[in-house]
Amino acid sequence: MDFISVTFMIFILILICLYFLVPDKYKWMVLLAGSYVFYAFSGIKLMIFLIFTTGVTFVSGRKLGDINEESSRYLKEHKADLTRDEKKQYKSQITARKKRIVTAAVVVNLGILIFLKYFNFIAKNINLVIGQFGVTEKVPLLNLLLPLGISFYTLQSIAYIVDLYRGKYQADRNFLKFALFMSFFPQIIQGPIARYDQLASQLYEPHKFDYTRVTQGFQLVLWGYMKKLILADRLAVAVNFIFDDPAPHEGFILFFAAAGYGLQVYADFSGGMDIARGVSQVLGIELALNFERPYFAKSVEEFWRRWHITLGSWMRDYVFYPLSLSKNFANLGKRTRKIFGNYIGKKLPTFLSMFIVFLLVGVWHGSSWKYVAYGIWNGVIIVSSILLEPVYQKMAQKCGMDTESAGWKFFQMFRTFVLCSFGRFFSRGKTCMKAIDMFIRALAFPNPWVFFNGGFLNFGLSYKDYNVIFISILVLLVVGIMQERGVHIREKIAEQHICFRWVIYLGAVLTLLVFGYYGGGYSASEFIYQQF
Amino acid sequence: MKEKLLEILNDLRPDVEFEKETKLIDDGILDSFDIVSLVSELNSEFDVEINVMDLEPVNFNTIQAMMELIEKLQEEG
Amino acid sequence: MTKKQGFKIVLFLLILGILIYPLLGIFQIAAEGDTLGIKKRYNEFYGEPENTWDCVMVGTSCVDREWIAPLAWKNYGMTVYAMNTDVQPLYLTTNVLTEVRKTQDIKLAVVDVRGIKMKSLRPDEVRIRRVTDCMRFSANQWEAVNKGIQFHNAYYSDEEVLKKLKKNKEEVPEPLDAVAMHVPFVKYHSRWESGLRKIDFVGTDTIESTMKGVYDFENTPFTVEEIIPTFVTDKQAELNELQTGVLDEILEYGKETDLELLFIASPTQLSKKEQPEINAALAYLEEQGANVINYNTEEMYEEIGINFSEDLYNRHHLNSRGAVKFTEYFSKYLNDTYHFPDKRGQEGYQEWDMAYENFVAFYEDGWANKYTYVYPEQEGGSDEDDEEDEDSEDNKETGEAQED
Repeated sequence: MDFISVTFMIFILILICLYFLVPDKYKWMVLLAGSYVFYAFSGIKLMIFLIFTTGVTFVSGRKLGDINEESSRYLKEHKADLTRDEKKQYKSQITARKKRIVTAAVVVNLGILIFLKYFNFIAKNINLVIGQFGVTEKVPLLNLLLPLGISFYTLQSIAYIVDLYRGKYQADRNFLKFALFMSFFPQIIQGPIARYDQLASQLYEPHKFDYTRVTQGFQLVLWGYMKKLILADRLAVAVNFIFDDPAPHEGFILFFAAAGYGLQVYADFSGGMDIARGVSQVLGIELALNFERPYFAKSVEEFWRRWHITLGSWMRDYVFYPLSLSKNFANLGKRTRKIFGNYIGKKLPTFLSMFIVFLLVGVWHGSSWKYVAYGIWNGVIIVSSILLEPVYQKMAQKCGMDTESAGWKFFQMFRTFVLCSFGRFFSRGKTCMKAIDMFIRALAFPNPWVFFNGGFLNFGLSYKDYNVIFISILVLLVVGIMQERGVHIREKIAEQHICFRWVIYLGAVLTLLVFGYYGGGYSASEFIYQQF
Repeated sequence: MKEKLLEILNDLRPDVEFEKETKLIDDGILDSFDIVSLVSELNSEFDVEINVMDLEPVNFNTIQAMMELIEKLQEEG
Repeated sequence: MTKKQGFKIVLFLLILGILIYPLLGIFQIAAEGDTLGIKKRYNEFYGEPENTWDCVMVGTSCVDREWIAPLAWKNYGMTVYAMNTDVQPLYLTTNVLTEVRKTQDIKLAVVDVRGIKMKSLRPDEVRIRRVTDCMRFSANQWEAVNKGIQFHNAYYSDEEVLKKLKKNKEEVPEPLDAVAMHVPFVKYHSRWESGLRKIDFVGTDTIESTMKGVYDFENTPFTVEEIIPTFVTDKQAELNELQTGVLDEILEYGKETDLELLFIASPTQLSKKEQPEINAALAYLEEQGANVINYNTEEMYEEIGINFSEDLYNRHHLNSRGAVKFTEYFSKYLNDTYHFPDKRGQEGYQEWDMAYENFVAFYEDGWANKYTYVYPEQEGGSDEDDEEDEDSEDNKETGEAQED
């Protein structure tokens, strides 16, 4: 079910009404049933994968929980009569047992994801390589479909398993409730990736109707729809036009397409998050933030801490820290320190794990070399910007620039914006080669006259459309600045006089209805010139 | 121990006033890079093994919390 | 939830509804300019005094180009009104007739069957909208939209159609968006961008007609293009299930609702490819016992007096000179066959007298000041290979600038 569909809106209204009408002890069941109904709409056949992963995760989780309880009980009972060494030995035995379970669960769940998502990519490349050696046998490509949200719920399940391994909380003992945690519909499509200790209890507890909470939730949903329909879907027209056939374009037009795509995906993705969070808020559930005004970031590293936050924190907790703090990396650190000296040497292993993280982030987006390139691009930029930051500071000092000034901060934001936009060539370009080609031609052929000769009107958008885009970006900017200063917009509006508030809410709905980019569009000529 | 800890912290991030701050992690003052560098220093300096499980915000939000963590790990051996 | 909160919610939704309602009226099918007066035709229909019509004519664009209602009134006191649209979907004929009969107790419906050609029958969002978006919201309109969507599915599931698409390497179009078809606002809200006019804000859907439905778009009624006369053939094509289904439905409707039907094929040029389907349709209808007249025979052309060098503004449409000839002929036929009561001089029909006077002025002024001559198409272009459709003319053909 697409968020932008009448079906979804009807579904939401029915679900919300049911949730508040049903007695408290059944409320979580309404959420579970609703989530599976939602999932069924996207392909009932592929549901089996979700159920299987849920089952594997639940069972291994319970086992880990059992071991945790057993071991802590044992250690408590025998606190006095065990030596330190005996304790250590016991602990490492327990750890080994837990490791086996974790490995099994992660291999199975991750394996399914990797197989379904990357098999064809790997097969194609194997075929390419062995083709060079004259081997005529080829690995066959399979017709594989991806279950809805598999990239998200798989990560969520791994987080749960590893958290249990780390003894962070107690395992869930109720399969159906756990199934709700894994399938909660607002976040199944594109996240946020939830942590069990933050989400689960909220799902299981009943929430009563609260006027303020419900109305603010709906306001957030409205805001999300506005971002998606007014800005994202409108930008998409021009962006798609250029990316579908980039050959005749160059210079700033290509950059516009990439930067435009960045804005489009921000509006679309964060809009989707707003809808998810808004619906959840109506139901009394708080989902994690996934976006915090990423375009206010002053470095690419900071950008990725404000963009798709839950993916970043997942990578941090389950890839970056484990890698960086592992024995191997510690040893590596000792060696590099000897070679490269203290400053760089200390940081090198962390750079390596950072690079690995961004490679994974890139590849997680999809199975294509362009995503590998995307990962490498981000990794290289971030590592080099960390290395270069002191250089920048020195340069600024030499030029007498105040690095705390607004001007410098603006420069940093602009620099980040340009770098991130260039990265978009890889995430949106049709193939890796096309992306590289566009990247190079965007730089090599600057053509400032395109801003003045009306060329932008050839991409399917009229100048009125561009006005709407500019105004939308302006609104987002103002809202963003206010939020950076700590203003909570919805509450701020709620404080105002009822007339003022309602003008805003009603105006927002009408603006969405009239200026949203939906409904196939209208052109006078189609009524006269029939398209055969 | 506190002096040594402060020394390490100031060496890592001279721009931060560690005595005053109470939300070093929650407010994003120390980022994941800083944490990793800090942990490897602490591990070697105080002969402990801080691992991923200990990287909860609650353990690193204040110097006090960091000292408590180190002490606890030293005890457990 | 407290009472006050519940009240606020209800009030909010109410105000929202009150604000949205006029938007639905503003953002609908254009009443001026864009749609060549199709909405205007319906608006004038809704403005007509009830139960004043004897007969209605439906079908494709040929109909309103060829029928001068005030002339028939002048000669015989009959009130015969054209309620066609460009490439009107033949499968929506019964809905158009139902709509008309809500306010007019007509005795006869003349159905032009040119729309039976598979090319004209091809369901298309715009062709359907010309009917459904102009009708007022009602059960009949709702049914018409559903029929349009269903026929779209049926057409693009038909084997013959799919084979032809494959041969031409064309893709099967997406099914129609039901929400957008039922709620025109979904489509037309984009008109904020292409331009709204005063009439969209203040216009109503009932207006007084000046000439009782005579086609009056710019210079077109006064345009002459020399057309190669029809090469008449009496070959009959094999009608497929879709086509016979549509014809059966109309026949069924006539029987069940006790409405007399007359099926005609309007006189203009027709290619050798176009005639067989029409011939077959008329033959099929005749077999079922219906009354049919084919005006595309040499005898008929001669009897009506159609001069292919003077009376058409493009292949498929008569200009007003040709229309006068056709109207004279056809109104006489209607009078002799159906004997509609002569209402000249009766109370409540003054508008028709006015319409005639308006028409005379329109006609004379038009030929004096708006006469346009279009050079004939290249040799051989107007027959075999021409896949021209019945609604793409006017601006393209005459090269006149589109109304803004």
